Amino acid sequence: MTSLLHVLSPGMFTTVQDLGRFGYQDLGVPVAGALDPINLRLANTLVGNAENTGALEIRIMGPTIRIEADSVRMALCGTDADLVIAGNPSRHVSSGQSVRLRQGQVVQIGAMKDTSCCYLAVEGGFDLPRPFASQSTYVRGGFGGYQGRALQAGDQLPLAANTIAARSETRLNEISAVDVSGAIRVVLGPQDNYFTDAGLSTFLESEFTITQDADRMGLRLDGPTLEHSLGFNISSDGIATGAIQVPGTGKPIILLADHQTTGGYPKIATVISADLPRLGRMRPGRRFRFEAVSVADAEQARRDLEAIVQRSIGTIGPADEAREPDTDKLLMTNLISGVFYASE
Amino acid sequence: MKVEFLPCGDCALSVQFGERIERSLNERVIQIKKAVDAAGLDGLVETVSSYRALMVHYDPLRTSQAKLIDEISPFLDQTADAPTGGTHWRIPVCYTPEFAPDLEYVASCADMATERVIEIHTTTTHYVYMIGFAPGQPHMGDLPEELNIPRRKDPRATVEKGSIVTATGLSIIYPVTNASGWHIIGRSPVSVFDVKKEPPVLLVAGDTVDFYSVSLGEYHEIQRMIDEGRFDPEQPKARA
Repeated sequence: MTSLLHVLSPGMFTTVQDLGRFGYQDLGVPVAGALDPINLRLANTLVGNAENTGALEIRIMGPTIRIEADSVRMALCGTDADLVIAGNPSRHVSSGQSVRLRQGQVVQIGAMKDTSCCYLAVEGGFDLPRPFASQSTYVRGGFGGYQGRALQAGDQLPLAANTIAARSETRLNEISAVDVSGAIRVVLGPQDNYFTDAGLSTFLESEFTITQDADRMGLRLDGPTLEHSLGFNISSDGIATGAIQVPGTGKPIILLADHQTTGGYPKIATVISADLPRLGRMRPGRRFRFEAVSVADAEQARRDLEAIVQRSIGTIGPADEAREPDTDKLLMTNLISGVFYASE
Repeated sequence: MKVEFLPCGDCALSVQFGERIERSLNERVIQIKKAVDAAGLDGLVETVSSYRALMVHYDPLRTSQAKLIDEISPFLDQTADAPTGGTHWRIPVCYTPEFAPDLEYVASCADMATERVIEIHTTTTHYVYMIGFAPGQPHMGDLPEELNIPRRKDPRATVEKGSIVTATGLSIIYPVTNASGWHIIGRSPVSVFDVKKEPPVLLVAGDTVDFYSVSLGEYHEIQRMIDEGRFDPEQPKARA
């Protein structure tokens, strides 16, 4: 028997993502991958997968899925929304906890209020092709993930495993690095010299808002116009994830996971890698400022973030099955709001 | 040659060789890319060559930008070998008006007949400077100065797969339907990117391309041949 997840409703924009597709950018193939790699890694770890295993990236509103396999273990990570198992009464499983489901059970992830994305990992992962060595869905190119697109109602996602052994479930006892407050740190350049002093000051001293024009490729920001000095065309060059390009409109665009490999607009700065996961979680309407740091400080911030992630992974332990779901949720909420950034 | 290291956050570094788009400079970038790739530097994830820069993507948990600059610098001092040369391709293009909504505009900018634009486009050997923006998308040059036309002010949201577009003296074959701020002057039935093929990408940086004009009927015939696996655009030839 084929084992699969049957998509009853797809959610707003649900795709399979892993940690990205590296090594093919010189062929113009974008990296793609999770907008919030931290919660992908945590979700995978909770179900015993390698961190880079493809999982469902869920945006804003989650899917409803029927289990068509003997058994499946899942874990949701990165939101305070619950995984709801249909029934009378329905059962709520908190984010950050694994659960084993049986043939015919229906699970739903509703609307998320706290983030733009979260991750649903399944033990063993999906039995899907790996074009350019990755399962990440790149929708614009039409490859990766499930048929190169976001999930649709009726899709049947093949699972790598048909049966999952019963064992004690796991939970994440400390969740970190999910706070979205504070400035977004950047390294200036590579083309900060294409802007006037006034343009650079405006960039570093103003508040910007994420517009509705926000997807996996980039976030268009609203705010004051940034003044170019040398025009707004450069000979196309390479793009790093987090690059902030400023086209002729003077309104910055932050390039995210699905960004093109090269581009011809000047890039005033690049968001540091330690701040990319929380940027990936931000929803339209979110306001923030930029703060310039040095390359060495950015590299240190990334090491600090990795230490926090490793500490979080270290807190994964057996779930107390008897614990009341409501208590779970309260605890998780407190932990989320109690998060800090070492550098802030 | 003045070389600059430009920081691109904490996961990438751009090695920039001037500002100009020039074939000899680009050949140098491709050579240095090959040398850096072969060196197997610790923490280096991948490199991407563009017109006049080499992007070096790295993992800040395994190396640092300062260390990479030290490691890459010696490659810049090495004497340039003669370019190794790429593959030469002959690619059919249909310049019929329904595939070329901007051909008249381009001709009027250059103050010449559309037939002359086609003639220049099909007698120029196009050098593939870089692959980028979309999977397999070749950026080629150079057209003569009179066909150096600025990009559109208002990009089109949708340009069909296979479209041949031009701006700033350069030409591109669109691998997938995508947005574009360039002028559409024709369409090729040849796919420069097909994820189901091996290799999926037809052209690589350093290749050369001759275009030849085909009628709408020939376009559809070649399309059929491609679908049946009977068409090969590569034509071995002494390199220009």
